[in-house]
Amino acid sequence: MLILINIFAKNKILKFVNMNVKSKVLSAGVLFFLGGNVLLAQQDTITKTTEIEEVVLTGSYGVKQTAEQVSGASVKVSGDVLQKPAAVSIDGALQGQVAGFMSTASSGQPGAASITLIRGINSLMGSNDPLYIIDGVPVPAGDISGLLTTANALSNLNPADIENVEVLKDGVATSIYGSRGANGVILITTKSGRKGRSDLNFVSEMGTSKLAYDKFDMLNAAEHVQLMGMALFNVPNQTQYATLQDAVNAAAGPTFFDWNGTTNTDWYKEVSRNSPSFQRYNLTYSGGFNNFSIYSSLGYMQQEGLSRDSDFHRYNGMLKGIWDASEKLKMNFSVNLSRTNQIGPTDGSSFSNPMFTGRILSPTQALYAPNGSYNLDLFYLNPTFNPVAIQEANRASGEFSKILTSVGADYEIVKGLRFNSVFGLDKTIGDEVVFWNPDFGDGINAGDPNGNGNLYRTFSNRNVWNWYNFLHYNKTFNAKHDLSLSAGMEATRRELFSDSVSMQGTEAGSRKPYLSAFINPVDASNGITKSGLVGYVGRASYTYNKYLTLTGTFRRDGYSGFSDFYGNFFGAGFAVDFGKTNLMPDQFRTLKLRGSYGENGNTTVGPYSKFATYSSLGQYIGENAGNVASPGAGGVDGIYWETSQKMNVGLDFALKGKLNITGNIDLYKNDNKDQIIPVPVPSSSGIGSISKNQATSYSKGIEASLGLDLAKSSVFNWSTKFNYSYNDTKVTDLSGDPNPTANDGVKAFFPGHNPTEFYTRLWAGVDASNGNPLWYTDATRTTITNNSTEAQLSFTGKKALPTHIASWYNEMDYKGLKLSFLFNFQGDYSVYDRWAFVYDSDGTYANVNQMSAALYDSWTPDNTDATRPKIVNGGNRNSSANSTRYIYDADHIRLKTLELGYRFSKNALNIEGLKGIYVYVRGVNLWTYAFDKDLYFDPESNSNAFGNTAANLGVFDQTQPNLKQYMLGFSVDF
Amino acid sequence: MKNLKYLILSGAAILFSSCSTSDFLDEKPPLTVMLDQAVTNESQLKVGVNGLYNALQRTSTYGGAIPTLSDLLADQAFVSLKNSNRFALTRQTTLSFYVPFNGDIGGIWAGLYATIMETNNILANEGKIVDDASVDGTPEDYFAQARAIRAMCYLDLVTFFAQYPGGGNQDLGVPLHTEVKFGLAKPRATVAEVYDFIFQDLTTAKSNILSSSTQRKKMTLGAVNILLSRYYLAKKDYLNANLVSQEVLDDPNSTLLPSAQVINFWTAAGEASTEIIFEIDYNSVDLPGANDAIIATWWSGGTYKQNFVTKSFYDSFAANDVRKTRWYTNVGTGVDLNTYPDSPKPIDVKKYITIDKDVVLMRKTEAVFNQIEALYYTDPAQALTKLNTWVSTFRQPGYAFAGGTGPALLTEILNQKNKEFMLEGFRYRDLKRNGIGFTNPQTGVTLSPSNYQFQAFPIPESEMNTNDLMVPNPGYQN
Repeated sequence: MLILINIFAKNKILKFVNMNVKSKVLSAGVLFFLGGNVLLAQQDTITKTTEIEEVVLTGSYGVKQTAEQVSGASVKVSGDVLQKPAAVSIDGALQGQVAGFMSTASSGQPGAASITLIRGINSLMGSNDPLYIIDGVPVPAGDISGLLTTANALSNLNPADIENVEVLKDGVATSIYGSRGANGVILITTKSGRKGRSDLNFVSEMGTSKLAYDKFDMLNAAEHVQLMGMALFNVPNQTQYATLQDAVNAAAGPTFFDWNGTTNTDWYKEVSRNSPSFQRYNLTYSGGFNNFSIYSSLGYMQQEGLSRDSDFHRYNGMLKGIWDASEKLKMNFSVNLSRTNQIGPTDGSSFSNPMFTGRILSPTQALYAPNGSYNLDLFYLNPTFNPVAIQEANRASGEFSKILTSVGADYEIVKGLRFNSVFGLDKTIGDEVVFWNPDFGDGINAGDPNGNGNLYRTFSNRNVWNWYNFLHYNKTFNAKHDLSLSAGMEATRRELFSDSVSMQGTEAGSRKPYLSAFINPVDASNGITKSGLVGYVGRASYTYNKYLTLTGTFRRDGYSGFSDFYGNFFGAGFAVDFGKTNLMPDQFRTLKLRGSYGENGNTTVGPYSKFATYSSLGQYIGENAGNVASPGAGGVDGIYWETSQKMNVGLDFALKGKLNITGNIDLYKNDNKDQIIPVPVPSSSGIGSISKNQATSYSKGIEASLGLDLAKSSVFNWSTKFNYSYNDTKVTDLSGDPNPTANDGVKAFFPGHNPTEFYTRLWAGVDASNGNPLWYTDATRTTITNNSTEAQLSFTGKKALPTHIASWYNEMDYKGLKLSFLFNFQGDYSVYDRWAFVYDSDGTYANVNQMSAALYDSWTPDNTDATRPKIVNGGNRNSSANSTRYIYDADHIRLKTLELGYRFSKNALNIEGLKGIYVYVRGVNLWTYAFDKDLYFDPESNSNAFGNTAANLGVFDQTQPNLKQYMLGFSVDF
Repeated sequence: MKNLKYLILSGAAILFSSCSTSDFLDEKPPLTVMLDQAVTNESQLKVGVNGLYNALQRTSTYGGAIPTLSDLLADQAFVSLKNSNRFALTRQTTLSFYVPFNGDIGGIWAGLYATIMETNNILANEGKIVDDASVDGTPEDYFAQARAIRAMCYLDLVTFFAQYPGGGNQDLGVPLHTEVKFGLAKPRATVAEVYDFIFQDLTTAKSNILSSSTQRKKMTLGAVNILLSRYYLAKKDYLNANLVSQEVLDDPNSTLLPSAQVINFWTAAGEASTEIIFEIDYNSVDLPGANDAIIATWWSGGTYKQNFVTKSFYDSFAANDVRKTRWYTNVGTGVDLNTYPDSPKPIDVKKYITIDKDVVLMRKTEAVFNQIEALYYTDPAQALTKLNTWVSTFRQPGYAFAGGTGPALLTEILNQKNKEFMLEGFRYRDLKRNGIGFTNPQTGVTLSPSNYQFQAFPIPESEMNTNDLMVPNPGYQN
C-alpha cells in the first residue's frame, strides 16, 4: 500500500521479528459474566409507584438492592431515548444522555469503532472502553477489524432490542466487576415479554444523509495552476522562469499538470455519494403467560457511507425467555445472532483512500482519458491512483457473525438464601478480504516476480466463555436491620485465533477477489491469544432503618498475563436517604447523600507481555530464522495490575412543586496508579521501549444533571433535562523521567499535563518582511526563529479531551404529537489535522491541490500580513513540519437529534388488531456551530491509527466524515 | 433439609473445583519460546544465525536506507523535485537533513543496534554448544558468522556517527554493547576502543570461519577479509590493507567480474555470480516492504521513481564503458525521464529493478579498489598502474589516467570506484574517510570537512532523551 510519510515522524519502536501478522489482535479485555436476568419492575413514566420495589440491578451477579440502597453513581437511560440518534451502535446512542459519558466515532464509516470515555481518561496505554454487559453477558467493545480499517464490535447489537441502559461510573458500583470495570460499566437490559400480553411491533425507517460539518475550501483548476506557478517562481536563485507568468505557463504545460485550460474536476464530489441512504426494519414479538415470558426480534439495517464504496448491513435476531420453573427456581436463557457486512475504504493518507485523494488530486486532471476509460495517467503522487476507478475496481470488506448466548438460574435454597449461576458464551467470527486489482493502483507491484494484483484474507475466531456462581443471603432483623451478604466466584476464558493469507498475481483485467484466481501465495501466518481471568467476590450491605446504608465489597482478581497473577480490590460506600428520616427539609421530595470509594484493576497488556520471548517464525533462504520477539516485563516485580482508586460523593434530590425538579450532582476523583506504559529506553540497547507499571494519573471532576417539567397537563407536556460534566485529567508521575514521553498523535505524557495535550513546535506566524515561517524556540515564547531545528517541541496548552461536556434534552408532547431534541456541547479542547502538511504546505506539495487559504492567504510582497508563509516549490524552510499551526479549537454546539412524531392511538384508528401507529421524522447532527471560525473539519474527529486512546483523540485522520441524517419512519403496534 | 445439604455441597464443590486456578491462569505463548531457551543446541544455533541475516534484511539499514543514503548524501545522486517526500530533505542546502529527530538517521542507529543485540544474544552461548553431526556446519563457524555481522554493524555505526581515526573528537565513538541487557544505558566508547573491538571480532571470526564456504548469502572468509580491509583503510594501516585485499584477490572462491558479464550482473542470474562475496537474500516469499525497498525509490520503473544519479556522473562515462546504458541510462522504464522537472534531467540506475533482488554488500572488485586506495598513500605510481589495468581490462578498454599521482589521482580513484559501486553503500564512506568535501551539482548541497554535518550524523533524539550517559556530536542541538 502506498503511504505518504511525514519525514519528521518520531523514531518508531522497532519490531524484532519479521512476523507479517497484519491482523490487529483485540487486546485482552476482561469479560465477566454477570448475572441475574430478573425482570425489572415496569416503570410507567407518568404515574409514580409508591411501593418500594426490590430492584435487582441486572448484571450484578444477582445482587438485590433497592434504589435507596444504591450508594454508587449511576444513571439509567430508557430504551426509547436510545432509538433517536439512529446510531449504528449502542455507544453512539448514549451520547448526551449521561453526564460524564463521552462517545465519538473515529470515522463516519458506518460501523466504525468509537472512542468511549466515562469520566475522562483512566488508562494511558490500555483500553479506556467501559465494560459492556448485555443481560449479564460481557460483550467485547473495541475494534475487531483485522484487515479493515475499523469495525466496532458493538455494531453487531441492535439498539432496538434495548429496554434500558444503566451506566455505572464510580468505585463502589464498579469494583464488584473487578478489572475492566476500571473505566466504568454499562449494563444493558434487553426487552422481555410481559405476562398476560402478546405484543407485536414493526418499525420501518428510511432516510438520507449529508456531510455534518465540512468547510474545506480547495482550489479550482486555474487557481491550482497559479499556485504551482508561484511555487516554481519563488524558488530561491532559480533561473528557469523570468516572470511569474512564465512559471504559471510552465505549470500548465506538459512537464507539470498538462492542463487543457478547461478541465476542472471536483474530485471530492466524484468519490462521494450525493446522498448516502439509510434504512432500518425491525419486527419484535413479546408476550407471556403464567410463568413464562418471551421476547424475540428480527432486524435489518443498512447504512451507506459518504464514500461511494462504503456500506454497512446488519441482520439481527434475538430470542429471550424467562421461566419461573417453580416457586424456588427461576431460569432464563437468551440467544442473540447477528451478522454484519461492512464494506469500506482505507483511511489515513493512503493514496487509495478516496476521501484523501478526492481532496488533494489536482482539479486540472481529468476524470476520463480521451478514449473514455478512466484517466490513469494523472499528475499526482502516483499516476494510476484514479480514486473513482479504484473505488470501482478494488474492494475491502468484512463479514462478522456473532452468537451471544446465555443460560442462567436463580434458586432459593431456603428463605433468604439464594444460589445464582449464569453461564454465557460469545463467539464472533470474522471474515475479511482486501482485493487490489492488477491493472492500476496499489495492485501494481513493479518489478515483483509475484506479479500484479493482491488479495488478503483474514479469518478470525473469538471465543469467550464466562461462568459465575454466587450465594446471596438476605435477612431483615427486628424490622430495622437489613443485611445482605454475597459471595461468589467467576471465571472467564478468552481465545482469539486468526489466520491470514495473502496472494499475489492475477491476470490483467481480473476482478475476482478469490484465492483461486491468484497464483502466488506470498504469505500465510496466524495468531493465537489465550487468556484466563478468575475473580473471587465478597459483598456485604447493611441498611439501618431503611435510611442509612453501608456497603463493602472485596474482589480478588487473577489474570494470566500478570507476573504474579493476583490483585486485591476493595470498595466501600454509604448512602443516607433523608426521605426516610425526619431531617429532610420541606421543599424536598427526596434527598439522598452518597459517598463511595472503590478500586478496580485494569489489565492493559496482552496475555504474553510478561515473558521475554524468542520466535523462530522468520525466514532466511527458505529456512527458519530466529529473532528476539519480546523483551518481557521490565522491573523486578514484573508486570502487574493497574489500579484505579475511585472516590465519589454525590447528592440526589427531587423538589416538591409543579416543576417536578429532579437532579443530582457528583464530585469524583479517580487515582490511577501503577499504569503500564512502554517506557522509552536507549535504542542502543537493542530495543526502543519496555513496558513497566510506572505511571500514575488522575481524573477528577464534577457531574451535574437537572431535570424539570416545564409543562404538565393532559394536553401538553414538556420535560427538559440538562447534563453537565467537568473533567480534569492529568498525568502525575512517570517515575522520574525528566523528559516528556512522546506519544503518537503529536502528544506526550508528562507529569502535570493532560495526557491528551498536544506536544509540538510552537508556530509564531510569518515574517512580514520576507514570508519566512516563524516558530517560538521554546515554551516561554520569548524568542522567535525561522529555523525549524531551533524550534523545540513543547507543550502547547491545547488538549484533545474536552473539559466541559454539556447536553440539553427536551421532550414535548401535545395531544399525541411528540417533539424531542438534544443539543450537545463540548468545550475547551482542540483538534489536529494530521495531513494538513500535505494540502496546507506552502509549496512542499505544490503538485497536489491545496486549501484555498494556501493561495490567497500566503505571503507575497503585496500581501505581507498573510497568515501563511511564502509558497516555494519543494517547501519553505520546513514550514509544514508539525506545529500548532495545524491545531484548531474544536469547541462546538451540535443539534444531535431532533424528532417530530405523531401517535395514532387505538381508538383513533379503529382498526381491528392495531394497537397504535407512531409516525415520525427525525434528524441527526442537523446543525453544528463551531466557535473557531478557522476550523474546517468536523470537531468530533478521532483517529484509530495509533495504539492508545490519548494518541487517537482529537486527530483528524482523513477518515470518512460524520454525517447529517434525515429520516422518515413509522412504528406499528399489533 | 436434605436438599439443602446437597445444594450447599454442590455449590461448594463448584467453588472449590474451579480452584486449580493456577493452572487456569498459567498461559504460555503458543507461538514463541522463552528467551533463555532459545539456543540450546546446534540446530537452534543455526536458526538463530539465520535470524541475524533476517535482521540484516531490514530496510531501515542494509536493505534500503544505508545503500540509499550513502549516495544521496554525497555528490553524484539526488532526489528528484518530483518525489514522494521520502529522503527529500537530502536536497536542502540548509543541511536540514542532519537533525537529531530525523527518522532515517534514527532508523539506522536503532536498526544496527537491534542487529547487534541479536548477535550478542547468539554469542552469549559461545562455548556451550556441542557439534551435532546431523546439522551441517559447526558451532565455531556459526559463532564466527555472528562475530562478522557484529563487526560489520559496529563498523558502519562508527563510520556514520563518529569521525574516522586520525580525525577530530576521537573520544566520541559509539556505545559498545557486548551482551543482551534490555534498557541498559552505556556511555560512548572512544573511536579507538570501537575499532579495537571490531578488530577483535574480525580476527576471531577469521580463525574460526569455514574457509571453504561458497555460500554468498552468508558471511564467509572472503567477507571477513573484505571487512578487515575496510578496517585497515579506516585505521590508515595501508600496509595491512594492501595485504588483506590481496588475500581477497587471491581467494579461489570468487572471481572478478569480467566485462562480458557486466550486462547480466544485476539480473536474477547475476545473484549466482562468483564476483559476489556477500549479498542479502530476498526471494519471492521473503520480500522487503514494497514501500521501503531500494526499488521503491530508485529506478524509473519502480514505485516512487524519485532517486537518480546526476547527468555529470553519466557524462563522465566514456562511450565504450560497458556500464554506460546498461547500469546507468538516460532512458526511463515506463516513464520519460525528460518529463521530470529537474534540470539537468535525471539519470536512471538499473541495478535494483526487481523487488526480490538480493542486496549486494560485498564483492570482489571492492578489494581491487581498497588495494588501490591503500597503495595511493604508500606507492601512488603502483596505484596508478593498477587502476589503469583494472579499468581498461574490466570496464573501459583503452583507459589511462593522465592526471599524475597527486591528489587528482585520489579523486580519480574514488570516482572510478563510484562508477562501479553507485548504490552499493560506498560514496559517503569514501569521501568522509579521505576528507574530501563536495558540492552536489543537481541540488547545490555543499559539504566540506569543516562542517559538523560532514564529520558525523547527529545522535538520534530518542537516544539523547533516554540515555543520560550519551554526549551529542558537536554542532548539533541536543
